[in-house]
Amino acid sequence: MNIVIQSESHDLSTDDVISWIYHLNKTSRISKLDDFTEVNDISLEMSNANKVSVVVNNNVNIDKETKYWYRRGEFDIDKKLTKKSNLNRNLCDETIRPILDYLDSGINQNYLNKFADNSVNKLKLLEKAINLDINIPDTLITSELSQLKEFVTQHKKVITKPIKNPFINFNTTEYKVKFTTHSKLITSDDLADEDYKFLPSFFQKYIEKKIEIRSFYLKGAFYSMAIFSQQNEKTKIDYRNYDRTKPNRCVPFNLPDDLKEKLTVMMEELELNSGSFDIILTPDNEYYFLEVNPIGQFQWLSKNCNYYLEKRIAKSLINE
Amino acid sequence: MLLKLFTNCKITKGNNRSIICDLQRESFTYIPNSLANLFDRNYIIDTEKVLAQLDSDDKKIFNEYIQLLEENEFVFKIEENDFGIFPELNPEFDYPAEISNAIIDRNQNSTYSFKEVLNKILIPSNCRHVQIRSYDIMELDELRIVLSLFEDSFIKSIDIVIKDFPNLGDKEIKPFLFNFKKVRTLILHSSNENKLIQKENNFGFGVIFSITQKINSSAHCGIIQEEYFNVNMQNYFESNSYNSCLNKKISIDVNGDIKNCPSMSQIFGNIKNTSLKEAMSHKDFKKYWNIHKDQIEICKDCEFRYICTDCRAYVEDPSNDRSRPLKCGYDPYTNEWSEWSTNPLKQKAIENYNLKELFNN
Repeated sequence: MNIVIQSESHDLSTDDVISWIYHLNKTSRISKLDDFTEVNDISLEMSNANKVSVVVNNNVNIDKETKYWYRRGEFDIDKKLTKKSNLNRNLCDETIRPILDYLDSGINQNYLNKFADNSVNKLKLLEKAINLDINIPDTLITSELSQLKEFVTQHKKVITKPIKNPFINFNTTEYKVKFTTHSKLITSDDLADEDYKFLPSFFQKYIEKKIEIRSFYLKGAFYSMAIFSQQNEKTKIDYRNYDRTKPNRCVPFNLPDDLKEKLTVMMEELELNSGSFDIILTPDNEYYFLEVNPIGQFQWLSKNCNYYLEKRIAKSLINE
Repeated sequence: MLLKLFTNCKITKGNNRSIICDLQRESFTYIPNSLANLFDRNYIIDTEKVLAQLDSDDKKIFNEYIQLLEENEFVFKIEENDFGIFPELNPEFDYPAEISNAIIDRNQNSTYSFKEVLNKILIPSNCRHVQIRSYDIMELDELRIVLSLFEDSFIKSIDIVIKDFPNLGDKEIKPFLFNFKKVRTLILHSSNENKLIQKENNFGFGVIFSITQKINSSAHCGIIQEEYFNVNMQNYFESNSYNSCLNKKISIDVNGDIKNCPSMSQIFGNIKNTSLKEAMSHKDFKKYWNIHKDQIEICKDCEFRYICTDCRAYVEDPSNDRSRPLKCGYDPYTNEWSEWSTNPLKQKAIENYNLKELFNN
């Protein structure tokens, strides 16, 4: 059995999944693309007799039967090459890019996530939720202080978080800098009197929580965990401000069936076969959808709830 | 008010008292059995119901109990509508390997090769955690070859116990170990002093210390004491259904003989001429794997039964394979720890196993 895994070299979850694959199927041949892998060499053959087969960098074979898991990382054209000149970039776009796009469209019958899942648009998710009649917090994107003030006046408590990724990396020749932004609470006290402009920013009505829910979705199944973040001031606004000495209680949780059905439709419409949902349960027992992260962390969920997600991922890859 | 025990906090009832194993924060707390008994089938306490039945002295005690539960965040307030949304933890223990850990014993007469152990035992069984114990001196050059072999393999962690030798200074051992990131602990036995040489410096890895205890045979093993208790979810659920020492364990003794544990007498072939498959297909190879604490005499009444280790090599009554570990000094009926080796009831077994020489060290 031929399995291709694209990931980061230090990702422990990948390591655990590989242990399971090897344990469940000793004859599997696992090829791993780590971190940023440059395309040095690519060849593709198509025929009616042999269908499609691709060989990447002379050693990774991908065909219809290949199982493919996109976990993390990037497989792309050498960025140095394309940065140097427009000519290079245009040449690559005309030659290698269509092959990569084709590969990423999911040529395998059995795959789990794909690189394109990285760029799922948060706004698209919210729109899908509205159409499916799933609660979302009132949302505003604006660059105007006056409009924000009006929103804050209306909702009293508002949070802001990144429109896209909470992690931004800057690489210089000397440093690698990683910025992370979590959700921050905004009230009228935080807003200046004089008018000024800022880049378009994302604001949502702050939803009071009974508990927060993290739910891992894998091909139609939900594995959910309740996070008791409200007893701790540090984690009240965003549980990712982890309290390491007294971690929030995290226990298995059952989502209601009608919500699971709606979320499944959302995933199918977005062509995502795996992802991690962030959901809020309010003191009034209403569920609010926040977002779904197609390549999120699942190890802590697996460990806290004894869900053996690594085994389930391995099994789903090898079709057992 | 309804208080529900978080599903990752598990009560283990003992004869005289109970403990709550906090599987998330990995610690345990003593509670009286009278408190443990207040929880219903769904691990809920209805405080009003309980209070209505108590007199004022008992109310005071009950309020202290509740305070203890709330301070440790063992319980949360729950509404009746929410009973169904917090399912029990899946109690299953599963592991991505036929063998989870291996003990490799050496002395100066050992002739089998580590490479053979890696290729014939560890890789085919997907075993990624090993302990190497050398009763005699193992030169750094030899250790370097062994560790390089494991460093380049899929092994994840290595624990080493070797005999301290003259001229091995802290200055030498620290940089030596720096190159081997998979070494979790290095213990130098038969040393001049008990000393911590290096604290963990890499996610719990890289610990070095020396001990004066002479470890010159596998007879030293099997001691049960509080320091060895291990509160975590994987260990807890494994102990619920399997033997907490021997399940998924394999050992290579100083002669290269394949065993469950080096301290046991039964041999399943020698590494030089036996494959993993041959050894494991022997009818007795997994004989002890399913013997768990609820089936072991005395242990089954002990509040520590899902967080301690077991030992089947040295038991109080060698003719009974459900007898309690010989080297445990805890009495769950009095809740007292005492020295196991001087306990008059254990002398017969100590003689039987020839363990007397242990105490002359």
